[in-house]
Amino acid sequence: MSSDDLLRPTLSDYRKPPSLYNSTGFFLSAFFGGPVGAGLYAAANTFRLGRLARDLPVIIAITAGAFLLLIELDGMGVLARLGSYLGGTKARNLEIYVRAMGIASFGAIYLLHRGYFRAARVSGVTPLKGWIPGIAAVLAGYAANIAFIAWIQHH
Amino acid sequence: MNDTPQSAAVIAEQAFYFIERRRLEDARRVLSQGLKEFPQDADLLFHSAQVEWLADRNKEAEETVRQVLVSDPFHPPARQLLASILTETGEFADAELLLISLLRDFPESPDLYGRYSRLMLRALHLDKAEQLAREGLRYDPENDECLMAAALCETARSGARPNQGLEKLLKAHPESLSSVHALVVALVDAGRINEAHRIAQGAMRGDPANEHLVSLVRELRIQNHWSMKPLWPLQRWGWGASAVMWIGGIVVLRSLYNFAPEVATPVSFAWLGYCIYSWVWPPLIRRIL
Repeated sequence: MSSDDLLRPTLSDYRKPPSLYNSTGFFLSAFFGGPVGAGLYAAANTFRLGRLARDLPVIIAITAGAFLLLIELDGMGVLARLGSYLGGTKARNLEIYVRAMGIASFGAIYLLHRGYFRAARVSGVTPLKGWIPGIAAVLAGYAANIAFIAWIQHH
Repeated sequence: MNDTPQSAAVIAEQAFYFIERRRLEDARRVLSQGLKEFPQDADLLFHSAQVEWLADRNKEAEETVRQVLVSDPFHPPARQLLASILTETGEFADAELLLISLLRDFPESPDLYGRYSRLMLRALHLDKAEQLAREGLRYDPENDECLMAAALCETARSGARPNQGLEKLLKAHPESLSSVHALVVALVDAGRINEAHRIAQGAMRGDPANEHLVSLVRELRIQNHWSMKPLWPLQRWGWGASAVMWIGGIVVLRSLYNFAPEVATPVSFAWLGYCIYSWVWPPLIRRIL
């Protein structure tokens, strides 16, 4: 980047200053809302970072990949073997797997945005309160989880 | 103060003397007397804005600094102060335009590159922040603003790994507040709370009037409190530790229920207690201490 490029304004294009919703909300959305909860909260974050067009395909791929992995593991009988080890009902175990996939999605998306989270932390930026995206992500994610568990139980 | 008439420059000098020593009330008194006599003097108005800014009264500081710029639109310190105020109040785009206009007027000022870099870091533009710090260091390889910005960028980029930017900053400015700040941030990021607390405490003893240091030491004291020690893995590895705690908890507890049911219940209660403790205690201790 030349000196002229460095002195070209970067922030004038933003409607609001770039920032992130707090990471506690992100974790909780992934925990209670599974991969869809993690994906929706992350989409809200990428929107605030002004990177929606660039990051959304990756977030969708991670979310879809989490469900596809569960379907694949179910097809291979891995989930059934894991279920017999864990005990409990199939529905209950599926809830645990979906939640674990939510956390894995959180981890993958967090890695994608790690530089931003760290930059916010080291520069002392107060994160945005994540109630609205968090509640929306948990509700939509929970509904998606119920639908997925019902679907996988009947296949 | 004596009653002999003084020039605005002398009053500004007195005010600056008090500001440097963080004697804000004395500075405010001198300036209000001076401004009665020289109400339009740009330097007196600028120092007034500085006093309000240091007292965290951003709105008043902004109003006063804008008065300076009405009478002297070029006044570089006033433009720099306005950029700081705008950054603090979240008006990043306006702060950026001001810093760019300053850099166009002073294209070889490493301080300005350092400040622009810090603004970009705050606006989460890590790449540009790094490039700006690098550009500033081309003009002065030991400039503390740029070294600090570079160290913070490196901490943001690579976390607990060895930080060359920080090493350079500490070597060039071992006593500066910037070094302390960057070092403490890097240590906290690496989960080395105890060391961060000690360093910040040492710096605070040297500059007890610095409110930023006082609040930093307070926060680190909370994080370093003996009752927070059990939460060290969560402080060190953050959400990664939370995820491991949850998934590991389920696997370990299920295994115990299958293979050693007699210890499963106490362990599950201990695990649940730890989870609740990690949620409830940190906000509580912040209120207590």
